[in-house]
Amino acid sequence: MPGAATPEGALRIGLAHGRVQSFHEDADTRDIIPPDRAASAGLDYLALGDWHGALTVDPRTQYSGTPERDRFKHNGPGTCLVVTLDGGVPHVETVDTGRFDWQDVDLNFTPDADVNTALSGHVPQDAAKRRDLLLTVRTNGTLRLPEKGALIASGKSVADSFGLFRLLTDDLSTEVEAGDLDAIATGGALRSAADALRIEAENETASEDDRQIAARALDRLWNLSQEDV
Amino acid sequence: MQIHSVRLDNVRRFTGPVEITNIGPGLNVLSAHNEHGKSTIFDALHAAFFLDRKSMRADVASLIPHSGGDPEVTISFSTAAGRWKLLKRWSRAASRKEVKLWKDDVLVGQEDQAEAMLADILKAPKAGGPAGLLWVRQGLVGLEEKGDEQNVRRDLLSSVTGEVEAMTGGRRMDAIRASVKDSLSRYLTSTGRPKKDGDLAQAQENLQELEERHAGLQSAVRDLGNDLGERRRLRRELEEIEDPKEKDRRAATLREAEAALADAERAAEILHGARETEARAKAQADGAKERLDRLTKAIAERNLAEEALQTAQKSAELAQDRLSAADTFFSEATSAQKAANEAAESARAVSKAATRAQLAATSQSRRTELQNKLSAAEAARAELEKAKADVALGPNQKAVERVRELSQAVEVARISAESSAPSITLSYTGDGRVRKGSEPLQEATRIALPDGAELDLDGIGRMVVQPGAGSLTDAVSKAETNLSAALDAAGYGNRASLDEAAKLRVAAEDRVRNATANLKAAAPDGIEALQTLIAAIPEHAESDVNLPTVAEAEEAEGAAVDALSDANVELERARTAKDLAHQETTRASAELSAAMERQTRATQNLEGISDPEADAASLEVEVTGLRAELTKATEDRVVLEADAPDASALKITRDRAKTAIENSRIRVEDIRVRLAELDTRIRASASDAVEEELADVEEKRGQAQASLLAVETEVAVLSKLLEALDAAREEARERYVEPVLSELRPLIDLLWPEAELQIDAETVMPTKLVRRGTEEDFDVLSGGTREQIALLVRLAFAQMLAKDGRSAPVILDDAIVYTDDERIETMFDTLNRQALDFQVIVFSCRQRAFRDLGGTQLTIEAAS
Repeated sequence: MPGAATPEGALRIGLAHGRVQSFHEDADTRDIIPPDRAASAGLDYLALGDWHGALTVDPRTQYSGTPERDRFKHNGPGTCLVVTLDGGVPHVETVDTGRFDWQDVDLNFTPDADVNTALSGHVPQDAAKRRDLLLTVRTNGTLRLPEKGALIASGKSVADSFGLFRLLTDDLSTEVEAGDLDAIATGGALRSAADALRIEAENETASEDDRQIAARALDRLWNLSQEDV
Repeated sequence: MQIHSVRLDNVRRFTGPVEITNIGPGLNVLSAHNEHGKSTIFDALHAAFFLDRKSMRADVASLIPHSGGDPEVTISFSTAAGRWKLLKRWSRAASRKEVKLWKDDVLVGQEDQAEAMLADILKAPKAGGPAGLLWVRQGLVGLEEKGDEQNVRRDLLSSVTGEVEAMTGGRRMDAIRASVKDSLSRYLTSTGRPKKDGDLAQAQENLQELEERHAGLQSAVRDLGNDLGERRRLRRELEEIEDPKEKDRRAATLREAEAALADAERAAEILHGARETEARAKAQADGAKERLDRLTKAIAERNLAEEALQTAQKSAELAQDRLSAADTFFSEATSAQKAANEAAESARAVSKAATRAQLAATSQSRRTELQNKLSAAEAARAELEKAKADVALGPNQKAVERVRELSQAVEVARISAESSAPSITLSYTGDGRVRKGSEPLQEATRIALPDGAELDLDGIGRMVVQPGAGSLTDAVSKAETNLSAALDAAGYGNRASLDEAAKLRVAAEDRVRNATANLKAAAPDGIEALQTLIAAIPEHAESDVNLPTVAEAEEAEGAAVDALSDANVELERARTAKDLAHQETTRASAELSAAMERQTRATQNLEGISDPEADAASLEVEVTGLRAELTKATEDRVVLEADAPDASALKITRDRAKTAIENSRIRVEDIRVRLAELDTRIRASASDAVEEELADVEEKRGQAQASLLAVETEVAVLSKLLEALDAAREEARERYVEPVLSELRPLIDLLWPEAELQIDAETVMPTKLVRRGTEEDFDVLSGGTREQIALLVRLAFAQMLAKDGRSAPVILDDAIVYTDDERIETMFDTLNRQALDFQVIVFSCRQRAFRDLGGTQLTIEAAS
């Protein structure tokens, strides 16, 4: 290619599918597209495909992404690039082409946080826009039982309006105070069950998994106890 | 807890303040007509204790009067901690919501703090169980409800304002458990296995499927990677092999190797000729040397053979001399042994004769001894026979004993007759006398007259003495007769002859014993045995008086035997010497023959050589010359060998160079074939996009793992929650339900002495009433019966709390409206009895019926 002549006035445009970097030490470097391929081959533009997300290697070398994404690997909808070549640096414009908007967001909480406000920041007010929104909310940090319950309830209330809504609370710790358990029951068997789960959740001699399970069981009990029975 | 007073302001119909102030510790009754406000007070009490001031739920809103305003309730009550006053006001305006709490007339809390303190007062103990108040609401006895059967019956207990529910979890527990179970059922079967087509099973199957696909793709990608790696290696190798410089280098190497090999082959031929020359020189030198050695050796052998022959001849002569001496020695020893043997035989004969003579003398002495015993025995046997005959002549012992006994009887009879016969004893005073016959009888002597007597008394006359009847003389006569008869029977006329004969018989018996002893001494085994013994002793002829004693003969025999033994030893030694001399003679003879043969052979070896020594000297000169020629040839060969190239190594080098070229050619062909195969496979894999598919499957597998983990976690959470709920309910049942049941049974007995109430131990709900063997479902009982049972359940609950030191007021709002007049009396008694243990507040609209309930009568008064 470097030795191939180009008629005067013609544009040299490369089109390739593959990687520009190797992820394996013993990989055959001849299978890799050199990142400086556009310059070494005298190309006006090298359009690459392989990545599902858009990626600029250099001004003349770009991955356009996929017109419709099918996973959470890259946030946002599918795109394509409109490239204008006039001999100078290519003019590149990104155009959304995908119908579905993939969003994977993190929410970090501290006790007494306003969970509804935090969640609503990622929930379009217009319910119609949620139909094509696939949202994964990964929560972490710590919330008190009522707040966590409110967060989960809030998530449940909007979940059905989304194309997909996932509220992940595995990494969200629960802080339990005595008054929180009163909301389950001030005494009796329900309170005994709640106390037992809290003790197990805070038992430092138990495994982390067992503590997590007990804590989540207590969350569940709290939520169920708040439902109208 | 005990409630002392309650004040209401702006609560429903009470738009102005009202109060009840005289609530006592035991039974309290507020009996008033409908719409008097009883239920309002009841609801106000409940709201003040349990509804937060901020709450505006329906039951709070219902307290607001139609005219509006903020409901306010003030309650005075006491607990073990002290006396309290609670003021609570609800309002839609936040600024007017209020709660205050005094303890012992001191304000101890307001607003949230007061709510928290109140909750703490009413809160159930940490160990579980109900709070401090029990409520029985108007008409909630299950009659009005239209819900499902369980809810209807549970409402009987719901009038305890959830205390029973708090104890067992109640409907909330049921609902939560049902919800958890329902959620679990989406994942698991009733036996805990993943439910078919359930989320868990699908997640597991999905992951398994992806794992299998992943494994297959990973294998394909690994194969592809291997193929790519191999292709890279092969291409590099092909380039290296086909490099022109490398090809030229391989050709030059081959040419150089072939030239060096030709030079080496020529040098090898020259060296071969030098080696043959050396070999020939060596053969000639060796042949001459061999001949010289043979000749020298034959001369030496001839000399040695002659010396050996002379030595052998001397040895043979010496051996012959030794053999003659040994023969002489053996002859002498043989004669001596023969003489000693004869002497020993003679001594043995003398010894035997002496022994026989000694035995004959011993036999004769024994015979004499035995014959003396035989004579004594025969004399003793003759005496024995005679004595036995004398014994036989005498009376037998029995007759002698009989006569002796009868003689004693006669004597006894005679003495008896004399002692019992008439007697006289005389004492004369004058001269006259008493005479029997003519003889005067002596005085001073007892004179027996057994047969009577005729006595003449001088100067007086005659006196006849009569013996009297049964005289003893008859007995004497009889005894004497018996004695005579016995003597006659024995053959003797009187006792004396019998005694004499008996004496002779005794003497004869002594003789028998003596003779028997003598016979036994002389012949213990009898005369015949003694005679046999004598006959067995052999008769011996007269012995030779000239024989020596046995001891002397045995000593002489021993000496002769010792001499014979010495002679035998000497003879053996002579025989051995003779054998050795024979062997030595034989060996010397053989050695002599061998020496003669050797000397003959040595002489034959030099046959035909007139002067062996001269020949040997000439041959030695020839050997020296040939060895000098060999040394020269060897030196020439060594020089050539040192200069010769290694043709074998050069041939190997040449072959290796040829092989390298050939192998390169073959390898190139193989690589090209293999590359074609690899290209085909790689193109096929690339078209299948296995790497992309693997990446895709890996991502999906990660998602499936996350999904399965989420489902498994969800199952674990639900299972853990269900487990905690079940454990807590079971614990509550064991801790509270059983005690409540035990309190309930005596209360049931008060109303239905012969009835038994069956209660679901898990739900604490009555299920059946058994009366006179008839079971009646609770739901088909009359309203009165059902409300009575419901009330008793609550009272049992209160009784249990009271016994536990947590006395709780029981507040009844028209709780027994359906009970007939007869049974209501029993209920009144029961309430009065229970009110001894805890506070009971009864609200009722049945004024007439409750007039007889007793207790403190409460009134609602307008408050200032």
